Amino acid sequence: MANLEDISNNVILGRSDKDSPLYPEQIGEPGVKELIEEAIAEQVPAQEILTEGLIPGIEEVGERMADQRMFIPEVLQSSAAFKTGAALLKPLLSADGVKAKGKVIVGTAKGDMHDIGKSLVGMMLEGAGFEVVDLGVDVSTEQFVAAVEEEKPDIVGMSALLTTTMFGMRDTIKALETADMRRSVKVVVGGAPITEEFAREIGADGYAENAGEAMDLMKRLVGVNY
Amino acid sequence: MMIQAIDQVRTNAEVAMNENAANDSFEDVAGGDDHPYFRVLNDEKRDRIHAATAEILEHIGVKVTRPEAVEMMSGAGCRVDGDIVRVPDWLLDDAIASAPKQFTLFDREGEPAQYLGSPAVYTHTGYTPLEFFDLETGVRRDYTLDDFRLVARVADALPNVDAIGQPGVVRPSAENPLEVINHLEFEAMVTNSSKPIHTLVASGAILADCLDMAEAVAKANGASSLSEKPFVMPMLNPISPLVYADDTVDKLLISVDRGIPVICGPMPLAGGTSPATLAGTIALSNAESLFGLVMSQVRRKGAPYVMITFAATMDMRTGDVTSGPEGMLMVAGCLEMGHHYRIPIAGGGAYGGRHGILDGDAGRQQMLGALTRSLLRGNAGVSIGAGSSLEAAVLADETFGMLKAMMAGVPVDDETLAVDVIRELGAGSGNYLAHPHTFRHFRAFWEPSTVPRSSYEGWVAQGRKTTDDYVKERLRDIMQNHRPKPVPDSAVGTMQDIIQEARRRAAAGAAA
Repeated sequence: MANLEDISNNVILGRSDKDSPLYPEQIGEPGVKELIEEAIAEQVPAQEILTEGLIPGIEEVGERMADQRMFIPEVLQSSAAFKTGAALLKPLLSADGVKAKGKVIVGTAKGDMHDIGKSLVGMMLEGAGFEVVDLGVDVSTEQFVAAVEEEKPDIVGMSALLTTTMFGMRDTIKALETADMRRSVKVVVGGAPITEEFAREIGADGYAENAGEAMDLMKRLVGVNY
Repeated sequence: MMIQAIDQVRTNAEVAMNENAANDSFEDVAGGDDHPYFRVLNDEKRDRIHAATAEILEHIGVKVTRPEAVEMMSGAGCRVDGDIVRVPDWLLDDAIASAPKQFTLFDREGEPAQYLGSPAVYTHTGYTPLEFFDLETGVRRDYTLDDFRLVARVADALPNVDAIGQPGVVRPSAENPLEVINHLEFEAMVTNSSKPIHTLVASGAILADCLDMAEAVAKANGASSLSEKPFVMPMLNPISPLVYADDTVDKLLISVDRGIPVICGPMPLAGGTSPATLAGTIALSNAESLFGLVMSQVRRKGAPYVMITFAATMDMRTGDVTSGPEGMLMVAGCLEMGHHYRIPIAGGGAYGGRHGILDGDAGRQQMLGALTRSLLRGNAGVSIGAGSSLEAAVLADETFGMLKAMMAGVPVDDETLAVDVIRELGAGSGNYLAHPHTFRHFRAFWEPSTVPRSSYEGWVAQGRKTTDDYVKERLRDIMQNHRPKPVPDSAVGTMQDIIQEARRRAAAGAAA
C-alpha cells in the first residue's frame, strides 16, 4: 500500500530514485520515483500524490532551510527529487496542477565568466517550482534581449562578480527599454559588487544579497507566497 | 658625541631586534630547515595530490578563451580540443624545472625588498575588498582614491608589512570611467609607498599602461628598466574550475613578455566551484596554478612566477565565501605543493576581521591565518585587512612582527647554548642579569610596537586602554606624521601623461 508520507520523507532526504547515491546504505530502497509509480499503480489520484506526498516534503525543506537545519547542497538534492516526482505526475494532472510559478531567465553580465552565483540561484528557483532558462556566462545585451523576446519570461536575473562587468547589466536594462520590452519583464540583479543602491541606479526591479534572498525576491515579484 | 654614539648602538640593536628573520640576501635567509615549519601533507599524500594534479592537467584540461594562447600551447605540445588545453606530463615537468627557484622583488627605490623563494616570511595587505571601513563614521562604504592613498601610506609606515596588495576596488564614475580607474588606483599606490606592489587590474591593456607608469618610476629612480628591478608584481586569478579567461591570459603574457614576475592565485570555493573535500580542492587549485606556470614557461623559459591560493569553503547557508580551519588546511596544502616544486609561494587570504570590525574574532582569525602561512617555512605572504580596516592592518603589523620573530627559530651554537655561562654562574646562586652574555643577547627579545606591556597598576594609571585604543593611537600617529618618499617629478609627469592618454582613448571610445 502506497504511503504518501514516504514520498515526503524521500523528498526531504533528496532521494530521487532507488539508485540515489546520497546514502550508500539505502541504495536499492524505493525513492520518490518508485514510490510515486507504486501509488499511481494503486490508483491513488495524482492530485492527492502531489498535495499529500510531494508538496508537504518540499514545504518542510523550505522551512528547514529557513531556520538553517538544511543547507544548500541538501536543498538542491531535495529539489531534484521533487522535480522527478512532479514530472511523473504532470501527464496525469490538469494543466493547472503543475503550472510553474513563473519563468526566469538567468545569465552573467557580458564579459563575466563567474558561473556559480547565477547557477545557484537558477537551481534553487527550479527547485522552488520556477521554470528556469539559463543563458550561461558572458551573456551579451543582444542575447538577453533576444531571449526575453523568445522566452517571454516573468523575470530576467543577471549577475556579475566584477566591478568591470557590472555595468553590462545597465546596458541590458536600457536595451530592453529601447526594444519596448522593459515593462513586460521584471529585472533582478546580484553578485558580490552589486548593492541595493546600484540596482536602483540602473533601474532594476530588485536586488538580492544571496541565493535564498533571491528566491524570496522572485516569489514576491511574481506574486506567490509559497 | 658620546651620547650620540651610544644612541646609535641602541638604535642598531632595535633595528636588529625588529628584523629578526630578515633578510639581507638569499644567503642570510637560506637553510629552510633552520626555521620552524609544519606540514599538513606527508610525502605519500603530497605525491598523490601531484598525481591528481597531473591527471587533471593531462586528461581533463583547462579552458582558455584566447585563441592565440590556445595555439601557443598547442605549438608547445599540449593536446587541444576547441578551447580546452591539456598539458602533457613532460611539459608540466619541464615548466616546473625551468621556472626560477628564487628571484628578487625590489622596492620602488630599486632596493631589494623580497627574496621570493627564500624561507623568509613576507606579508602584504589584503587584495581588493569591495568596501572600505570608514574611520570617521565606523561604517562600510565604497572605496575612494583617497582611501587608496591612505592605505598605501599606512602600509608604507608599518615595518612588518612588506608589500601592498591592491587595497580595494574604486567604483567607476562619470568622472573616472572604467578605462582609467585602475590607472588612478595604481598612481595612488605608487606615489604613497615605496614598497613593492601586487597589482590587480581589469585587463591586459590596462596592465600594460600601469607597467609603463612603473617603468617611468623605475627609470627615474636609476634602474635601466622595470624588468631589471621589478617593484610591481601583477596578480592573476584563473576562474575555478579550470578557466583562463581573456584578461587572465593577457595579463600573464604581457608580464612575461616584459620580464615582470607574476603572482597567480586561484580561488576555488570548496563545495561550490571545487570538490567539497580538502584534497580535491588542493589538487584543483594546484592544477590551476601550475597551468599558468606552464603557460609562462612556454612563453619564455625562466619567467618568474609565484604561486598563491585563496582556496576557501562556501558557506552552505548562503553561498558566500567563508573562512575557517578548512581554508587554512587547503592553503597550507597548496603552499606545500609549491615548496615541493620549489616554485616561490605566497599565502593568500588571511583574514582581516568580520565586516572590518577590529574585535576578538579579527584577532584570532588574523593570528590563525598568519601563523598557518608563516609556519609553511616562510615566504608565505599574508593578507591583512588593510583593505577593509586600517585598524586591523595596524594590529596585523604587530602580529606579523611576533611571527617573524618566532620564525627565526632557535639558533643553536656554543654562544647560544651558553654552557660556559651556566657553569660560571653555577647552581642556586647565579644572577644572569649582570652577565655580559645577557647584555649581548637580551635585545633580540621581541618587543611590542602597538600594544605595550605594562603592570596592572601601570595599565590602570594609563587609563585602562584597550587593544582597540592602542591600535587607534598608532594609526592616528601614522596618519598624521608618516610622509612617504616622493616619486621623482619626471615620473609623476609621465604617469599623468599615460592617464590622460587613457582618458582620451576612453572618451573617443565612448563617442564612437
